[in-house]
Amino acid sequence: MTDAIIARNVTYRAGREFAIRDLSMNVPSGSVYGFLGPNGSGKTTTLRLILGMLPIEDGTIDLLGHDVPKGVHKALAKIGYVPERLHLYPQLTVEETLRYHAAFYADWDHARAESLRREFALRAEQPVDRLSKGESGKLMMLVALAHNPQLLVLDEPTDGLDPVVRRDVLAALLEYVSSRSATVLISSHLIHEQERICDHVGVMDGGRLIAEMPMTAFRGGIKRLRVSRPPVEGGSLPFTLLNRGVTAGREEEWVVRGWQPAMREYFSAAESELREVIDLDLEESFVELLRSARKPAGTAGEAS
Amino acid sequence: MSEPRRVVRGLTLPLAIALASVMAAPRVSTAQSTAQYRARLIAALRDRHALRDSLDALHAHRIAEVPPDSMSSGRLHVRYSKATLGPSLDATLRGAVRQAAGDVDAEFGDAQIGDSGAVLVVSRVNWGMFTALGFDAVLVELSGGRGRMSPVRSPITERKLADALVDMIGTLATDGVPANVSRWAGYHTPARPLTHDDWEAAALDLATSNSSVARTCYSGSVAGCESALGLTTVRDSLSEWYTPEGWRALVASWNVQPGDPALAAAHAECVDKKVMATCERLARSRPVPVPLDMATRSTLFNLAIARGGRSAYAKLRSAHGTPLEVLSAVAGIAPDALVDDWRTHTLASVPHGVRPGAAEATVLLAWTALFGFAATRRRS
Amino acid sequence: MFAQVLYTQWKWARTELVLYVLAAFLIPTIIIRTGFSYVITYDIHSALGVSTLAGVCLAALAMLCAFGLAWRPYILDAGLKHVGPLSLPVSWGAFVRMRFLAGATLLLIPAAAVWFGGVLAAASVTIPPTLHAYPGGLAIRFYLASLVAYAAAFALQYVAGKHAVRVAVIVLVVVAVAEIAAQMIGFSSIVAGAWNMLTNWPGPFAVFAARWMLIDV
Repeated sequence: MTDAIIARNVTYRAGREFAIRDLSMNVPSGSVYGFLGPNGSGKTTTLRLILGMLPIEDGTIDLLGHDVPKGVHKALAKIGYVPERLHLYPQLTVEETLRYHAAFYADWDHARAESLRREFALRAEQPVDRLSKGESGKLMMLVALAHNPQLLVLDEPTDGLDPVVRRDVLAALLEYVSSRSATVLISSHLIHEQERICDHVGVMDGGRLIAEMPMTAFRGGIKRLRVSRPPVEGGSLPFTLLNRGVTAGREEEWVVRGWQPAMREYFSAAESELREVIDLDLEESFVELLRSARKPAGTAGEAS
Repeated sequence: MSEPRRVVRGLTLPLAIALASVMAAPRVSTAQSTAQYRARLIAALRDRHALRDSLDALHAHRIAEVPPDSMSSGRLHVRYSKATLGPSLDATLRGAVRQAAGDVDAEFGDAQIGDSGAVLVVSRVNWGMFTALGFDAVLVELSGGRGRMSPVRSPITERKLADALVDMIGTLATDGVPANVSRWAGYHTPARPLTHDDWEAAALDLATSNSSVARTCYSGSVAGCESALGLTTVRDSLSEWYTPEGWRALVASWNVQPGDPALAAAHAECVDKKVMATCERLARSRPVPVPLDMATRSTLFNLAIARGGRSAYAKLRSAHGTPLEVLSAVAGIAPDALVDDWRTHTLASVPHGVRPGAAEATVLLAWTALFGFAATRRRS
Repeated sequence: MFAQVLYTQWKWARTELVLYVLAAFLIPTIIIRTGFSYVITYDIHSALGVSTLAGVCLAALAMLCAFGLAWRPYILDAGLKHVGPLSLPVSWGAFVRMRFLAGATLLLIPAAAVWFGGVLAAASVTIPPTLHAYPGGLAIRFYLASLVAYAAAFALQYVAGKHAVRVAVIVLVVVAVAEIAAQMIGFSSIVAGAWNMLTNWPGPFAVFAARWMLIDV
């Protein structure tokens, strides 16, 4: 099965500085791809580049089999997009908003739209500028889901929403994903939320994609090792060393990726002692990845 | 930016425009009585005669000093100073003289413009409303101290220079207009073919005249046209040209100064209270205007010249009789036919511009499409 | 699609449109009726003067309608960085064309009010002989003038984006200075020449300098 989104060496410049540099990513079809990163890392810009809203300076993007930007509006017919800043026209009512969007999508499902409207408890005659933040978020999700898209692109869809609304939105999303085998690309800085729903993850920082892997590898694949008499630098490592730091005397903590139990042999051979292997949760894994990405090139650890 | 600075910046442009408007505006004359006005006018005329004589002498003296560089084409001879004009303007003048010679022949035919043709003087001057802000211009003058001159402002092109040369020749061609024709035309006998705008103005004058004879002319009466053009003998111009409502309209068009309360009261009695006897008395107190104005009458003059062909100006010098008889002789057609021709030409020039024509609508839609296309090309 | 774009733009502009319609209807009605009550029979120059005044007001209203309908759609979309239009499955060019045509369609409403007001105004006064009423012609001129001004303002918005107002102000100041220089000291400049080309036939704004006369010869 081809990937829903294939980006290769995408570069974008906003002003003098590069906002996105040499980005390559694959979003597998049928997956729920979580796009993680701190604020200002370039997540929203990357989504806009993928959807053809910003011009790429270099590189290629394939979106549902269509080249961006040439064929992007054909791809958009199969995409539901919920942006970070909701693009609702304040003078229209809920019903008028749905009618407006329905006119642009050949596959718009009026019955489904009506069903979702009731499920989200949105009144048809209510003006958009009188909707609460949560209701506006639900309306945008409704608009994105009502034409049965192949790909859902969601940019911070639950940001600022109360827990009840957040639950409703995520429930609708999960129901849709499970029933339609759709692909979802969801960007958020709420890591615990992503952990629950995503099966792939990409981590952005400073305009670069610093890591891309299945969620299982991300969740269980980054470990903290407590090492006594650590080996000196040099030699090839069987795992990826993200960070290392001295804790006390001759004891160090190593943060590694791709750890397997059989890799204990490495420390034995180096006459070091592996005291403990600690599982990191998603948030700790994310922080270690960022720390590793922000270090100057060539260093794997820091001296205390 | 602070609030006062923002206000000052916002007011700068409107103030500049207002200042420029004030500087360009004509001066408003002060109020005065009719007697005072008459006395001032007579004194000014006396001064003007003296001034004119001085100017003519000065002009002749100045022209006599112009270096004798010259060029000729056809019946056109031009004197100028090559050193003053410079090589670029010299070339432009040469082209202009060639064009003007052809225009003179086409427009004036056999008209008498001097024993050996017309002699004109071209010089380079500093011209402008304010000397400090003046700029180069070229002055075209008739030689012989007649005081007629035409400035050509930059950019100085061959066409503009040629037009100025032909304009000067035109004043010579119309030198021989009989005095009664000149008087009838209000001393406004144009030497060049009139433009569509001139005919349109004549059409508007005819259509908007408050005279009853102008209305009958508009409706088709040639006799009415002759009367409205002032070509017939009238015993009582006010009654023959205007109805009583027309008298009221005439008086209403006066600009009554507040310095004459008696006149102001009578004016109000006529216009506001519609006392027709007062309207008639006031209307008779001033010369009754010919229903159609000088510019309109000049179109008849111009039409006669156009119909008369190459020998029109020559016929104009030798024709005799009433103005209509003279113009008929120049045109070579009967008087009624000439006036009827004029009426047809004038009514054809009535502007029908309220509703855009097909060409105008097409051009506007094309511009609309162009702007729309430009909007879709760029994503900003 | 176009119907929905038209509907949304109508909904945004309906309050303004009501004001434009009222003005378009009342200008000829009030000015002609009031002015003609002071016009003396056969004082046709005064009658034409009243008609000219109404025409000048309608020309100004045409420009106001044009700019009013041109700026709002862009401002609303630009505030959201055009995310709405760009996320729809139509090309940018096609969407902008729909926006453009929607505004052009809405301009028909005040033009119709000009016609209606003109008919009523002409019927309510005694028109001097040799003059005629042209409510239909005036309404067509109003529509075409507002359309071309709308198109120019629309293009300026979409080409210059957030700099549109700045560009417009700079252009107007430069043109004003060039025109003042041309009139006062005869200084010909390329700017004054370009302005003359735009405001004289066959320039786009020559329509505003033509005869805007409800009652004319």
